Amino acid sequence: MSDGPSRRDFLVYSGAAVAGVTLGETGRRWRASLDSSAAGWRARAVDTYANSVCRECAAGCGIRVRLVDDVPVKIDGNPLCPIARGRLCAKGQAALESYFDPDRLVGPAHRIVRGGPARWEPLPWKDAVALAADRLKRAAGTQDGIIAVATADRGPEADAWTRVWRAAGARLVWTPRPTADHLRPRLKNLTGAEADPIFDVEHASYVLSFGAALADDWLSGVWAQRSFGRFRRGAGSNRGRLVHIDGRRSMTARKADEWLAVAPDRQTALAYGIASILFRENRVDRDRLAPFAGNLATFEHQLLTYYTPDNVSSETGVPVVTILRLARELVATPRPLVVVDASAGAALVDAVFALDVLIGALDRRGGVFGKGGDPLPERDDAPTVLRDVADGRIHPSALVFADSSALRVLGGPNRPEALAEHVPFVISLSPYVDEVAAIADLILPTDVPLESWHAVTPAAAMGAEIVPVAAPAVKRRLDTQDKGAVLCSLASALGGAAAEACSWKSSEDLIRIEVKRLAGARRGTPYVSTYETEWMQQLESGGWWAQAAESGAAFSERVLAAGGWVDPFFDASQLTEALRVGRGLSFPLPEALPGTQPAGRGAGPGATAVEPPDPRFPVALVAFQPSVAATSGNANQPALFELLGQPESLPWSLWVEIGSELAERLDIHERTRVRLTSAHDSLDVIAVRVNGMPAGVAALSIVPGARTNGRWSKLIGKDPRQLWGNDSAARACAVRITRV
Amino acid sequence: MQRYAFPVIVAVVVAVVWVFALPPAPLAQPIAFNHAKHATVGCVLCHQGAAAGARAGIPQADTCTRCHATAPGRGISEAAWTDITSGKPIAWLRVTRLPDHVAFSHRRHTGAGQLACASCHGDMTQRTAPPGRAPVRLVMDTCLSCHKREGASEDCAGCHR
Amino acid sequence: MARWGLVIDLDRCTGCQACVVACKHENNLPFSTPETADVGRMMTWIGLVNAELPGRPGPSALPLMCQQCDRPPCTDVCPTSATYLNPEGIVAQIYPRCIGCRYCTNACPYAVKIFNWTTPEWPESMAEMHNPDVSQRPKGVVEKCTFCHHRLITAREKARAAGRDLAPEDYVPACVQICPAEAMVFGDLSDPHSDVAALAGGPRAFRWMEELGTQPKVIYLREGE
Repeated sequence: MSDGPSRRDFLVYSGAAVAGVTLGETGRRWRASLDSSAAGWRARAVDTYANSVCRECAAGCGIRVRLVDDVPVKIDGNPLCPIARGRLCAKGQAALESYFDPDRLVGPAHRIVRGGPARWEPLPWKDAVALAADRLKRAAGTQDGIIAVATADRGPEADAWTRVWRAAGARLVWTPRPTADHLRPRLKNLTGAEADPIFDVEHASYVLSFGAALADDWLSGVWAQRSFGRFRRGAGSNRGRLVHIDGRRSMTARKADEWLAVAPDRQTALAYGIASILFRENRVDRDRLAPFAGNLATFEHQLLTYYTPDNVSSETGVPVVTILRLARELVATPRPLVVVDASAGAALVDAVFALDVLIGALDRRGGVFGKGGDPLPERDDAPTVLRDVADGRIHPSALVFADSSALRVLGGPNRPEALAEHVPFVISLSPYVDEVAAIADLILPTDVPLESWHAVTPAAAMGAEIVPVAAPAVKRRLDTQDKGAVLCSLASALGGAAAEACSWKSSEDLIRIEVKRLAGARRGTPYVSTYETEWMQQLESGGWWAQAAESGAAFSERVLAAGGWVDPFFDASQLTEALRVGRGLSFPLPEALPGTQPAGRGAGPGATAVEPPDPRFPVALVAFQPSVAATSGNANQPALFELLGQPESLPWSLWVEIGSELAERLDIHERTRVRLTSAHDSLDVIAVRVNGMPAGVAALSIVPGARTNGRWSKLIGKDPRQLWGNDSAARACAVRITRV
Repeated sequence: MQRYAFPVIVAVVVAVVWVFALPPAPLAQPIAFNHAKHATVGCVLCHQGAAAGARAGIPQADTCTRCHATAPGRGISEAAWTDITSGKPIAWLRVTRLPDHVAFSHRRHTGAGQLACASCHGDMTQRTAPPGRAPVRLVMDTCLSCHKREGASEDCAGCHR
Repeated sequence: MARWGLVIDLDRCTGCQACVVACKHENNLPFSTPETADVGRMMTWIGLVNAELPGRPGPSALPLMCQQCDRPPCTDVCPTSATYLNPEGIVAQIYPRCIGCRYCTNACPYAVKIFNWTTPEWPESMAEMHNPDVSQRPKGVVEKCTFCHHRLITAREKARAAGRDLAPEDYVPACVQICPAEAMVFGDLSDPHSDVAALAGGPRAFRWMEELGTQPKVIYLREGE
């Protein structure tokens, strides 16, 4: 043994050093190459902004998309848009998630096995269109033929849809939008004016709301919220007071100064009750109504006879003193206004407009105006027709869906699969894996809104005439086509009248024709700032039209770049004018309250008329769609699901709202899991206790979206509409509530 | 086995020292670009964001073709030229990089800060070959010492994001 | 030196949560699932909470985010100075310095500092859906509302490039920009002519849990008359 390192040690340590260096060099090279070739870095990250139109609801707000190297990263409001003025709601922003939706259809697809598990076969566009045309041709000759389902929008695309399907011999049905369109016929009935009602909430001093969800989503959501904000704390004006009447404690009810829990079907009685007090206490300005009194006297007599405070109180459960107080409050402020839910029944809308007349709100600042325009087209109601199909009352041979809205609204079929069972061929033009995709045999995916051309008539919410217009904000991400082009290729494959009806090649053609029309109108302007809009309004009301000095083409380009066209001029006397030239006020005469006695004959208890509830299912369950999730677009948007059930900290959940009284009786605490059992099904949900809700009712949240497709929408759980069986979920359902 | 424990430790130590003490390994850039030849036109002509944007950006063929109609004689083959001018991106490799949690903007430093490109990227005007590694080693101290000297913000949140 | 502050008018706020989505997209916050949300690990920097406020019949919905306290309890307990009050009054969080000890999340009475329990993930299709101005925080750090500080940096730079001073409208956080009801106002509290300074001094102004002495720079305006 020597003292120094052995030869063996020398070799071992040399070997170790060489191994170390080799390893180290490999590591060094690897480290240097780390993300050195990663894609993104070569880009300059240049910000650009593109104006477009939000299509998540009917409001047609202008949006501004932030693009980084041509990829959208955020959606904000378009500051020039007169509807939203640079603001946007949660749904509008979430459209970004629709564009990037990982579960979006990558191209046309054909279902291989009907009814079975979803197995799809991708098809080239040409074959997909040929297949669709072949099946549609065969379907056209049958008894109930083809039914084409779309959302009741207005604008060149809806017109194109109508023309093609009418020519193809299909029946057109439409999903109604909760917009002024719905209120318009009642306003016409009362005043004779062919006009949309415009509620000037912003300038009102007192708002009595019959279910109008000002703070949630009403008529035109972002506009309504801005109006609400300004109504509350407008510059230099006093704070507006809000009294909200609603069956459940919506966000509007929470924000209101006073919330009265009255179910929608009893609100009409309350409205007429208040009206009758206005007459009784002589708080109606009769002189002002005299020039166009119409049947005012008969109306008054009817109300005074049937809608006594006692009768109304027993019908609605609202104490007589409250009804009296509401009536007095209503006329005690300078600019009161009564507003109504945009999907309320005709009787309630009539009652609300009647109240607006009595408080002198017609054509008054902070009141109701009429905005004239083309009469509404007659349109069949899609949810009703589809329920008929699902229940086997009519037997179409093919269904064509432009989107899934008809299967999403509460009045539609509760079990969309029934449509697939009854109809041999279902075509979807929706780009998402939504309710329609779940039943479709053939999917021809169209572009999502960010990729599309737009020109729509927005939900009427303000006086100005507005047409949001836009070119695609981003490039197409997948193998989709624009709706105009799909329609056109379907029409030419069908041949005959349909092919002749189709005078365009793509949505771009349709929108360019519309913009040309706007340029030819020689009035209005591309979207401009608030200040300039005001200025134009002043000019135009003085009879000066700002003539477009530039060429039509340049004007069109400016309209497209700005995101829309607006003519701010508005004649604020259209309702009064219609009353003056027409037959005057024509109040629909309210019927007597069931089970009550006319005034003067002693108010007897009206026990017999109301059907006693089934003792097995004592609670009337009403469904509602939380406004954050009630989108007409994609339902696979995680950011929106996180908003559900807030501020009760119930993200991703369905919940049932139960009055404290009933909850106490059933020993249900806040956030207890409860079981809802109806005659058809049962469902476990989380309970939220609400002070002030009547004992006999409960409200259940319903979130749209196909439970079998999108990765996020399937996390929401079972579709609660099964509780309703075959009955419309728009009406109350009798249930029993038990603790789980 | 015990007798090999020490040699293994030696190997690991050598490897770690090799990786972290030596400058990064040079990378082979796809094109033998000669900065010295192009220096007269200024940095910004090709690195377009260097003065007005957050990121300087690395040029693609569309920048080259603004001056060069055909393949420049040396440095790039005819085939490679056809490739990149027909839309295939030039696969430049990144040599200077900041971590994701640093918010750096070229405009702030070249514009408001009036910093010369060379202070962070070295003098590129003399280089005849594309850089295979970062010419200047950038660590937080590099930033801070300059910020202190120039009286620029030393607020952490000013640069960290 | 500016003192940035935010005023939220509860009378105008409709609880629509547009601010929550704006914040989520602006700041690259990952999505939750029912499971992660259930255990309180949903990542949001701003959210509605129920608050019992005097003079209201029921609970009010309060949009709550980091209150940017002038005396922040979170910074006192941070062992690494990863969170500190910056000269402009923003409580900053320096992610590479944060060791994830979560002392600050415990110290915060508003519970608005959130810990990254997992590496944030997005589906492949959403890989590009990110704001390049904001980093993606790694697993194991605490994060929070920064008043969209990156927007201030960008705005200041733009103003300087254009050779002018920073105007009030140049720097607005994403939540304020989107708010449909115009309920949020942002600005410099140290500027006596700013809207925020006027509103913060008004009769309806209050600070949430101000009795704790945190001196928030988020000021709420009371609902009601």
